[in-house]
Amino acid sequence: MNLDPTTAASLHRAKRQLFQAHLGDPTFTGAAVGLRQRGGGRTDEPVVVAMVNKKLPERQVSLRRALPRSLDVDDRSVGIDVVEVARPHAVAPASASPASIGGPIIGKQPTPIQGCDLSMLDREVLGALGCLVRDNEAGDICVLSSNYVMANLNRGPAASLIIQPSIFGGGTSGDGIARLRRWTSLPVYGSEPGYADAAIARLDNQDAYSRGVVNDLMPPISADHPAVGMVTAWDYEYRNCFLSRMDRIVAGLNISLLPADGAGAPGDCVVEPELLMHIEKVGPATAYTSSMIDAIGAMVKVDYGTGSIYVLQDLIWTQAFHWPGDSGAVACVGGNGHEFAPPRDEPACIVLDSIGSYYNLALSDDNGLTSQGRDQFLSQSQVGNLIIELIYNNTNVVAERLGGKKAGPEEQGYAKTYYDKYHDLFATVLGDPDSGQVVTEENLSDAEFILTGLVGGPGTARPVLVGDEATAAMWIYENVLLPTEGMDYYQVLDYMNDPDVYQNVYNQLASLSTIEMVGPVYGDTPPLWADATHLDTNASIALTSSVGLGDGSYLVFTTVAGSGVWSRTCTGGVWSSTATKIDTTATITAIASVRDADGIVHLFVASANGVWERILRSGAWSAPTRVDANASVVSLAATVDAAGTTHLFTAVNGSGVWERTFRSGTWATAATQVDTTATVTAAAAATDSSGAPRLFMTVAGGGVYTRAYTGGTWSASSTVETNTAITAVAAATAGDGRTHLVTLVPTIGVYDRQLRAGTWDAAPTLVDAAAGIAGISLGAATDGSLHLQTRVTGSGVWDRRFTPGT
Amino acid sequence: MSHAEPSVPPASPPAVTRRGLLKVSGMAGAGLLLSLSAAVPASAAVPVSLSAAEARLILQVAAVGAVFPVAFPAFGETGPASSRVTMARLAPAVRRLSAVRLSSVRAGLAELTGAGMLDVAPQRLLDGITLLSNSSGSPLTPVVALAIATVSTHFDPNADAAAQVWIGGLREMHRRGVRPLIGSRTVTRP
Repeated sequence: MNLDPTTAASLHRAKRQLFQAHLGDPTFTGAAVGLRQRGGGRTDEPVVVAMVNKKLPERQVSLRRALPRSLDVDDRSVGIDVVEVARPHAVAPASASPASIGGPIIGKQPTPIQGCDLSMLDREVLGALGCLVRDNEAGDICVLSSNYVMANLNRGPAASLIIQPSIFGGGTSGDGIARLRRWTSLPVYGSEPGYADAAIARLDNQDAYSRGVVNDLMPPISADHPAVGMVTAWDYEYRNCFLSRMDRIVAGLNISLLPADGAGAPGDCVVEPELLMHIEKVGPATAYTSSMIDAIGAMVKVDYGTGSIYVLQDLIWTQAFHWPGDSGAVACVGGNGHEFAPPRDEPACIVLDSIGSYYNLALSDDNGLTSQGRDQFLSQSQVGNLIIELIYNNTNVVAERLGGKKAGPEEQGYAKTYYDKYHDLFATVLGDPDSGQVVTEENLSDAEFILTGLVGGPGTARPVLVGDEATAAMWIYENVLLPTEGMDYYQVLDYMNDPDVYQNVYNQLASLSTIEMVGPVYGDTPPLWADATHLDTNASIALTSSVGLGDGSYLVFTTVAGSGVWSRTCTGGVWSSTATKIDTTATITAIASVRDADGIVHLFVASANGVWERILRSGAWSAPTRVDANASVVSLAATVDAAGTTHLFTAVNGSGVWERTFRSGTWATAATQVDTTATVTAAAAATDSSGAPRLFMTVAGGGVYTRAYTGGTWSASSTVETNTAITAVAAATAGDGRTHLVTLVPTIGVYDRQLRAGTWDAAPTLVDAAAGIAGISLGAATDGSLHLQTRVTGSGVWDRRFTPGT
Repeated sequence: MSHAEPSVPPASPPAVTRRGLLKVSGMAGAGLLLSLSAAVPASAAVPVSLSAAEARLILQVAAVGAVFPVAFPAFGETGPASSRVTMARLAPAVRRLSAVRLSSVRAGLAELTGAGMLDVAPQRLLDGITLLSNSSGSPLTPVVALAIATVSTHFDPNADAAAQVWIGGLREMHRRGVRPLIGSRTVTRP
């Protein structure tokens, strides 16, 4: 199936955009052009295929990882179809030696022939003899396979001996058949992507070779059976497979295929890949297989086990086509499209493979035990499910951090010691939860030893825990693990279901930027910042404020220089299509709004004439009245405390932040100074779950600090945010009692940090990564949700709703 | 994890828990340097103290254990573990030993000394311990346990667990033909 050129061009452009935008996301593995898959089948809609290591429900995807549903390219909208493709590898996992995967075609062949096994003499990497080719530069006959198999990832060196059978087939120096000649360069991530993983080696005996296919498992290459690609990479489940294009290989190496005698000109023996094309191949690991081309033009990040990531482009994506050991096998057009290579048994063993290989432990043998631990123990508690999710969503983090690397000998020795000490114990406890075994001080001491080893330092090859992970792990150890001493199986389960324990663990994990968290798990409904709605397209809007109304609707106020204050209402989730003008003040320096204890909305605006108030009562706005005569107000904030008192805060240039209260229908005659900082640029206020008003202030280059009003006095100030780039601050308390402090970091985005039961989150969460946000405001709706307004330069105002978890 | 029901009542003062750490630390400076406390009766068959050479060797083992395979964890104490390899800390650890255990310690020290491991360089001591780690019955376990208890009062010198892991790692490396290396780790000579 060929796409029309215009559509194809747009799709490939969108694909490149998507790939570049998400290149740094470890959960994003690549992008290609294919057909949308739905309900297990393919539709006829051409789309950009976005490949992620785990496809999750939209609400579970962290905001920074979220992929768009479509992209606008060339004045058209291009659909994005997200599919699961784990990070492609070109290296077999430790547990997948050729012996363990069968290797049906490994052994000495009478003469070099397509599909047989080969390898370098001194490198244990099994590959396929792709096919025989003629070197257009020297004119002699060569064997074609992959760079990784024959050229050791660009390292060569040229003239290295290639043996058949491979090392795995018992090959030795006496089995040399060819000498490495040249290869397509595999560029490391960060440089220009490569197109193919291929190399050629000159046959030692130019007269002894076969033009057939090993065991006659498929016809030889010909114009009727043309080559389309060559096996390059696969994910660890062996489900998703990638091929280099044969036309790219032929051009890149300047070679011609050597087809069967009289089978047509070499140029006729290579075709371009097409969507849904049936392909077949013969290789040492899986012998004959046939599948279908699912996507073309694939740009993927390939892991060659060196610690470096390579980007290859214009690959062919197919499924269940090959295993490790088939690298270099040539795919031809043909077959029924469904004689698949079997998938790997245990998809979840990626983590075990990585850890086992790193520490030289046979963890792959423990799949059954780990599955039992997951299903019988972890899945029965909130914390356990959090751990399952953590592993599930960070499979690639583990694979990338440990893959292809080895722990130091001391680490391996002690890992084996601890493995031996605890393996049978875990099996016993899982087999008999009523055994009465309890967590001992010895167990916890061992945990501290192990943690120390993971942190790294002299004696370790590298830290396994990086950045803040070590601090978080130690915190969890001290505060969550140590209290389990003396608990039996069931007591540990109860403990892991304690919401406070869960929250502590979650807070620590969520503070880490190096891992992915999609929780917390809040029963049926997780808390969620929804997508933003374009509320107002007026690019002249200068300030915003918002407030919830008693009938469940929501009001957003906008100021327009020279025009005044306008409002829009959201009722039943629908925003009013037009704005209503409610104030004509032309020059407004600050705005705030609040719904008081009686359900009356107060709107405050600051101008050169002081601070003025309008009241919305029974659907009608009152005339303005002056609340404060100060003409130097730079920011306003308001909140209502648990006793029903309204607090209006005015940040005054040069004199700090002042508070004026409204009680029983009357404003206090005098304002009280709450903070003496003369350079406050923005203020926000919210009443926390204890009923205390909290004031948040930011100063240029000074982060955000807060004061709380408790026991009739304002507390000393304490720092909440240390980011000196913050320019704006907003705050509100959601229906679950958590106070949200929202901050704006220009060009980076908007962050949300929550105050939960008196404790601030360890780190804020990025809520909106739009670069052009110039202002923010936040308010609480009466249904417990929050509304965040972002004013975007040149675009107007957007509204994003936060729903607390249940 | 282990069975909740204790098997044998401890012959020595009970294991120091994290919660008891401060109390134990407070005891550390008291008493005669290396002799057993009066609470543990001596008999003609049981030596009551370590000799100066034995004490030195224990501290040399502790100095290696403080940095190998990684820096010994804090377990509630401050400063590097190497700074805790002192006679002043060894004395209370010895006092916590049961009489029978002290005999085992001395036997292990005798084996080490017999192998020429007294007053040798840290790497050579580690090599010697590694070789002896393959002996049946692990005669070095009580020695290492006392060394660990010197570095960290969190550990009971009468308990084998931590020492068994430390020696077990050496044994595993020996089995694999890997020489444990102190390498660039700084060993503070006691």
